[in-house]
Amino acid sequence: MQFNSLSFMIFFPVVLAVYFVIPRKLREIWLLLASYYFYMNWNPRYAVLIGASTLITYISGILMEKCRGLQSKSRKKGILVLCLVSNLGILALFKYGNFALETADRILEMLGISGGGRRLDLLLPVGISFYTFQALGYIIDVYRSDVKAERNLVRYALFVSFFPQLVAGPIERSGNLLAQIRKVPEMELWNGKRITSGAILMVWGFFMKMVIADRAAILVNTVFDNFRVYGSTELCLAAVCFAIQIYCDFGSYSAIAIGAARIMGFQLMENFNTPYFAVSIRDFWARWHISLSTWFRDYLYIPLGGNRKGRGRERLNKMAVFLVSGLWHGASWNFVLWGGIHGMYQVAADVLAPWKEALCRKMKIRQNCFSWTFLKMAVTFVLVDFAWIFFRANSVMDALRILKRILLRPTPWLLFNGGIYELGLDRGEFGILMIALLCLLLGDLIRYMKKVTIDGFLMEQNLWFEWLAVILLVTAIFVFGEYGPAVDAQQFIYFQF
Amino acid sequence: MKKSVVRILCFIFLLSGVLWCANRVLAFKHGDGIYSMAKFYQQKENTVDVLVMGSSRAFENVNTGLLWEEYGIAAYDLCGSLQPVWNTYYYLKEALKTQKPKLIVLETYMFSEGDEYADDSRIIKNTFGMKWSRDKIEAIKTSAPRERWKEFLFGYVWYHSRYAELSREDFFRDKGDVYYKDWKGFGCNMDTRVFDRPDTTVTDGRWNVLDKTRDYFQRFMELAEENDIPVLMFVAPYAGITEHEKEVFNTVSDMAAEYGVDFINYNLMYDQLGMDFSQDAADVFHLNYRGNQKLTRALGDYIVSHYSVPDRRGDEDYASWEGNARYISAQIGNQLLKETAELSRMTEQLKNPDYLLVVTVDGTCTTADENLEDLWTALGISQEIGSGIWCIDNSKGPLYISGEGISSQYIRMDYHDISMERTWEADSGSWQNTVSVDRREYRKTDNGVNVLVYSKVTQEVADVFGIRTEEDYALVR
Repeated sequence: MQFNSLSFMIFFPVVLAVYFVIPRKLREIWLLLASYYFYMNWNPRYAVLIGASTLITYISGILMEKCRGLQSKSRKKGILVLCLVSNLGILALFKYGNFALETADRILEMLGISGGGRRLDLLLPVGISFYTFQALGYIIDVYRSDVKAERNLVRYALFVSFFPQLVAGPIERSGNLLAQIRKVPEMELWNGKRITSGAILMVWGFFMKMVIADRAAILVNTVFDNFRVYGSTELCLAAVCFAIQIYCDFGSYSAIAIGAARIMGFQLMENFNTPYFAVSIRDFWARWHISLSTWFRDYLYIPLGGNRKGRGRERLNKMAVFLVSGLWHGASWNFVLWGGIHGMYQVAADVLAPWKEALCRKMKIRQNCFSWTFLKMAVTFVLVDFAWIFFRANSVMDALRILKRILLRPTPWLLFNGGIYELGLDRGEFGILMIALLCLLLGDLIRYMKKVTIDGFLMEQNLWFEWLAVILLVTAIFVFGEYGPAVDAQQFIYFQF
Repeated sequence: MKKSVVRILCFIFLLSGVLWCANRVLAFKHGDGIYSMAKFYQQKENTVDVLVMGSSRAFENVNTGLLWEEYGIAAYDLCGSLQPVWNTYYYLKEALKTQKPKLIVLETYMFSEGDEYADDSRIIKNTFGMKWSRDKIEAIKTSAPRERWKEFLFGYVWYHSRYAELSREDFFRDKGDVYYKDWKGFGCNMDTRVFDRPDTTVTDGRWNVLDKTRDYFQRFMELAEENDIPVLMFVAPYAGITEHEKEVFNTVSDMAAEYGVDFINYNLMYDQLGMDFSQDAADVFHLNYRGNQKLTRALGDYIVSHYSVPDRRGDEDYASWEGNARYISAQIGNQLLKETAELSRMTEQLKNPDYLLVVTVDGTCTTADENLEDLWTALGISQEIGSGIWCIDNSKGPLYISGEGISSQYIRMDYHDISMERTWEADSGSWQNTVSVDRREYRKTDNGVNVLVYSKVTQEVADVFGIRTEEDYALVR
């Protein structure tokens, strides 16, 4: 069930209405049932996998907590390893099984041996990477004794499957979400401000998804899916639009998830914080998909040694984390390369930092002014967008071909003769996209400068302004949103991960 | 908490209001299905005496204006484009909620339908006009395959993206057009296409109509019977009739006989109708304004001689039928004017009191031209002023005469802006008369007379023509 579907428009109010009126003791069970219904709406068989992952980590957690004393330490480690291997094994089989077979076939082909071309007949379960990482985060936390193992299976199952963030994050930590789930029976649900805040976030999310992301997707798909007939202007425009699309697509999911959870009384972690205002790649990753970045930091980068084992090892660790992050995003080499590019950006930034400082000093470049910050933002955006080309292209070779065409097929006149309006979005649609982007820019500027999210900002205003803004947003979604039988409904991009 | 609830309710009320307005503006307003139902709901209760049902062969062929003018019949064409019989059944169910017609006239071309489901556009046109009710839901469930019911239940998802094509009709009552003020569902087709007379060989063959069609026809007849309403079935003449369709109509004739109702196949009666396919057809399927009058007269004669349908002329409750007839008559009058090629005949038509005329005398032509004396007399233009612009309301007299000097005038007619300007063009050393309606300039000749005819009934530019003096007073359009 997608957020931007009629089913969800019926599902969510029904879940909410029942949740608010049933006895407190039943709240957890109700949310668990709703979460499984939500997930099984894609395919009922998915429930087996998430159920298996839940049971394995649940039992492992309890077993680990029972291990006390020195001898038990190795047993505890053994349970952890077993749990990690089984969960990652499921993930590997379902998500990377065919990728591994394909890669093996190619290698064999290069060696002149026929690989047989066999593939696994498996369906990739929606959001498997998200809930697997959430469950693994929990088990590592229990191993480290950062949290207590959850003994109530309903609570724990709800933690793994909580429907607002189940299929595309934010990837929650047990210290945050599980702790809140434990307090569900005591939760005071009727809080006008909290509900309003959640509702505004949801509206903002739908606006980002249906008005911006899905509209930008039309241009992006037109150009990327047929890049061989387009030149530099169209490809660059499509790359910029993809940067917008993926931000609004993924950001919108997080906003709706956080909003929906907030209406129900849960505070999920922030997942996006004005990523395109980042002044460096490092800063970008502190603002983009924060729940995944911090997950990798806490459960992979630091255990690998982080920056504690010398410069060389630190850079190696960074590369490793980003390559894994790339692979997490998709079972394809272009995602790995995308991760690698971001890793290289980070390493290069470290290596070149003293040179950059020296150059600035020599050329007397002022660094505490807007123009310098703006330049850094612009350069960061270009670097990020360059990497997005590898992310969006269907293969590494296609990405390279796109870059080649950008360099060798200049078409600047299209900016002036209206040619850009023939890429799937006519003049009117382009105008709507621009106005919607202006709204997004305003929202992000408020977030960036006032350090307050859109819901907080609107609720600080006079009532007429708050209502006007929300009514305009809802009307924009209803009128200009990309939905209906005439529109090929765009899935949230991150569902595939 | 009470304060919060009040606040939320106020907000929901406001938001609903805005979305309701957006829905009204963006909704489909197709005349061939949706709007005919929407307008039907606006009819005074129990005023429709003859309910004409079926496809476009009904609403383009059965002239409700003529039925009123010549027989005093209050008829409404409640039809839809390519409307399958199952939709006609649901339209009847809907109609009977507010009306008690004395007769149902059922056009039967769509008995030849061979598919269980119509295309999306027809499903939309034949269901979206209905108000929310169990019948509407049933109509959608019957019209669309099960897996697509959801799509058609919420019309908004289809038309919300119409924002790029919004026009005046989307923002005003009656689509902002006087045409729809008293409209009774009839669409008078003004096109003419020349066809040979179709083959009139009679066939005895029969064709099994679709089970679904048969089923809903049965329901239709039972519903009519329950409400004690007689049914008259017919098929209109059309140029493109095929052998297969002749067989279908034979079957329809049998089906009508099963229920003991009359069925008239007008495709077997071209001579009785006086149908001339070289001038009476609008296209291969429909009759034009000449053809529909012939068919409607035949139907009207049949109705008054076989059924008890009252003559409502003079009844104040039926003023809208009078308005509808007046409009259609004016529409046909405009068309006749457009088709007139001789100036002598035209001068008579131009005297119509419903016309406002804007005449410019341009170039070397002057009102002293004796060859146009009849025209000046008919228009009431004084020959003392040589050239310029005249704006004459036939029922009131001249509204504006420019004279021979520089002059300009703006007139607002209904929702149209007419601008008239006489200027001196130094470059060419000549006087320039410019007439425009809603910023669109009308001129047919630079040397001669230009006439713009505005109809006060249909509230549109009815005709524009020029008389070229240097081309032997040729009429140009």
